Amino acid sequence: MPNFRDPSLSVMEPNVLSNSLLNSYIPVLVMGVAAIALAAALIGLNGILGPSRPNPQKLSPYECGVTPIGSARERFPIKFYLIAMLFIVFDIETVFMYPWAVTYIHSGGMMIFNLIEMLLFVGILFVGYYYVWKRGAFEWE
Amino acid sequence: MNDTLQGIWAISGPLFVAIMGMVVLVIGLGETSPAGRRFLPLGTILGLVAAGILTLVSSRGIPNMPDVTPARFFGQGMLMDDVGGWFCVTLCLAAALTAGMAPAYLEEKRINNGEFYALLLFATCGAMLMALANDLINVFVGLEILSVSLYILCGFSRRELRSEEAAVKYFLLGAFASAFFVFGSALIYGAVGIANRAISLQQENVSFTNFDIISEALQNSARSGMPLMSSPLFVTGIALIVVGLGFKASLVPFHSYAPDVYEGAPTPVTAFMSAGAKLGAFAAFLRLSHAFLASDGAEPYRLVLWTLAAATMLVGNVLAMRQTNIKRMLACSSIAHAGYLLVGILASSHGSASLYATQSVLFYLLAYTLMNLGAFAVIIWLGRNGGDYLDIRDYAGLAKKQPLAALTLTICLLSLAGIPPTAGFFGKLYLFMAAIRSGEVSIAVIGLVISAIGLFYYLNLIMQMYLREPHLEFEEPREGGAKRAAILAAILTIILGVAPNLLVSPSPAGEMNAPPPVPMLKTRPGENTLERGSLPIEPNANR
Repeated sequence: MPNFRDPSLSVMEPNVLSNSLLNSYIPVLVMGVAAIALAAALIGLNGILGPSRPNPQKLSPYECGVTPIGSARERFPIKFYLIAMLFIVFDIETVFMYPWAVTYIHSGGMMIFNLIEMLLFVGILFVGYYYVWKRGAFEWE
Repeated sequence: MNDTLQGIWAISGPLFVAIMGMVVLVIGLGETSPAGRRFLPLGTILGLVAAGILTLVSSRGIPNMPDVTPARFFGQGMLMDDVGGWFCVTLCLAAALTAGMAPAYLEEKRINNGEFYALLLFATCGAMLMALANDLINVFVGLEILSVSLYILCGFSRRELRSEEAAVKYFLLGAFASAFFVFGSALIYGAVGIANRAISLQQENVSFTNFDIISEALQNSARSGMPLMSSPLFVTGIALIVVGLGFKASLVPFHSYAPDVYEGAPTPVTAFMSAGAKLGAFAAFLRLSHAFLASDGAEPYRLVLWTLAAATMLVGNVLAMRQTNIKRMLACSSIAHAGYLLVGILASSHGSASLYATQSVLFYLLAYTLMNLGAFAVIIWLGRNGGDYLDIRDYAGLAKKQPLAALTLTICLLSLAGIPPTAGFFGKLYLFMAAIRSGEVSIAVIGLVISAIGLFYYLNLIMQMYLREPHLEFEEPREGGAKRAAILAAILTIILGVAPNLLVSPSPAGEMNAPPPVPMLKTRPGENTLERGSLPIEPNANR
C-alpha cells in the first residue's frame, strides 16, 4: 500500500483546491447545484407524473390572484394595504428574533440578560400590537 | 452586565421619554372623555419634565464610574456628557412647550388624539438619542426615529390637503436625505477601515463609524503621511453626511422643502419641528466637528461649512423678507438661524476656540428654541375656529386689540432679530465671538452684516402690530395652554437675555481678549470630546 500521507505526494494535489480561499466557496457551489437539481427534479416529476387538464385560467401566469394582463390601475379594497402593511411590520420583527434564537445558546453568562432583552423587544412589539388591535385594524368590515 | 446597567442609567432620559410615549399611546386609545383628553398633554409635560431632570442627574455623574470622562457605553456607541445632557434638556423643554400649546388647536381641528403626544415623545426620544450617540450608526437610528415621527406629525391634520402635501414632501425628501446619510456612513466605515490596516488604532472591537475612532484615524493617518482627508472615499462620505444632516437642519441648498412643510404642517408641529429637528441635526454636527478637532487636514471640511453657513444666512434672510405668510416667514428665519448656528459649528472645529464655540452653540440653541416656540405659540394663541391668522397684514394693530399677545410676540421677534436685552442677542454675540476667536473672522463679519439685514422683516412685523390701525377684531382667541407657553417662553427669553451667565458662561463679554476659559483638549489621542463638568449645565463648574 502506498502511503498517501507521504509529503512527496502532496505535489500531486491540484494547487487550486489547496487554496483555502477557494475552498471556502465549495459549500456555496454545492448549495447552488443542489438547489438547481431540486428545482429541476420537482418540475420534471410534476410534468411526468401529474395529470394534465389545462384550461385558460390555469395556463395564465400566476399573479397572486390579480388578472395578469389589463389595466394596472385596477381598484381593489384598501383593507388589503392595511393587512399587507401590518404583515410586513410584524414579519420583519420576527426576522429579528430568528438570529437571536440561533445565537442564544452561545450567550454563556449573559443568558438571563439576553432573555430579558428579547422580552423587552417583544413587550414593545406587544404595545404596537395592542394599539393596532384597539384601533380596529384587524376588523375586516 | 454592570456596564449595561450604567449605560441604561446614562441614557435613562431618552428611554424614559420612549416609555412615556408608549404609555401615552395606550392611554390615548381609551380616553375620549374631556377629562381624559386633558390628561394627555398634562401627562406628556410631566413626563418630559421628569425626563429632563433624569437627564440632568445622569449627566452629572455615573455611579461607580468617577474617572471615566466623558463616559462611553454600549460598545462605545453612546456617550453621556454635558453637551449631550444640555441637548436633551433643551429638547425636553421644546417638546413640553409644544405639548402645552397644542391642545386647544388640536381640539378645534378635531385631531386631538393620543397619537399626537405619543409621536411628539417618540420624536423627542429620537433627537435625544442623536445627541447622545457616539457612532454614526446610532446617530442614524436616532435620526430615523425623529424623522419618521415628524413625517406623520406633518400630515397629522389629515383632512387638510396642505398638511398632507407637507407630509409627502417632507417624507420623500427626508427619505433621500437619510439615504445620503447612511451611504456616507458606509463610505466612512470603508475609508477608516482601510486606514486602520496601515496605522492600527488603539482601541479594538469598536466600529469604524465611531466618532472617537474617526478622530483617531484622522490624527494618526495625518501623522503617518497618508492623511485620511486626502482619501476620496472619506471625503465623499463626509460630504454625504453633511448633505444628510444639512437637510434635517435645513441648510441652504437643502432648504427648499422648509417653507412649504412648515406652512402646511399643523402649527404646533411646525413649532416643534423648527426646534427639535435642528437640535438633533446640530448635535450630530457638533460631534462630527469635534472629530476633526485634533487633525490638521480639516481645511476642506471647514471650507464647506464656511460656504454653507454664508449661503444659509444670506438665502434664509433674503427669502424671509419676501414672505407674506407668517409661518413661511418664521420658516425662512429658521433657515437663517441654522446658518448662524453653523458659524458656531465651524468655530468648534478649531482647537483654539472649541469649548467656547460649543458653549455658544448650546446657548444659542436654547435661546432659539425658546424664542421660536414662543413666536409660534403666539400664532396659536390668537387663532380661532380651526384657523390661524397667517397673513402678516392680519397682525396690523394687534397691540390695540391684544396688547399682551403683541408684547409677547415682540419679545420673541426682538430676540430672533438679536436685539438686547434678549437671549437672542447674547446667543449671536457668543456665536460671532467664537468665530472671531477661532480665526474665522470673515464669516463673523458676513454674519453680522446679514443679521442686520434680517432685522428688516422682524421689525416690519413689530411695526405692523404697533403702528398700523387694526382691521381684525381678534375676538375669542384660543388662549389656554398656548398663552401660557408663549408667556413662559418670552419670560425665559428675557431672563436669559438679562442674565445669560445664570445658565452658561462662555466667558462674559467683558473679557473679549481673555484666553479661552479652560484648556481645550485632552492630550490623550482619540479623546477629544470636551471635558466633563466644564460645560454649561452648571455655571463655572471646574473653572
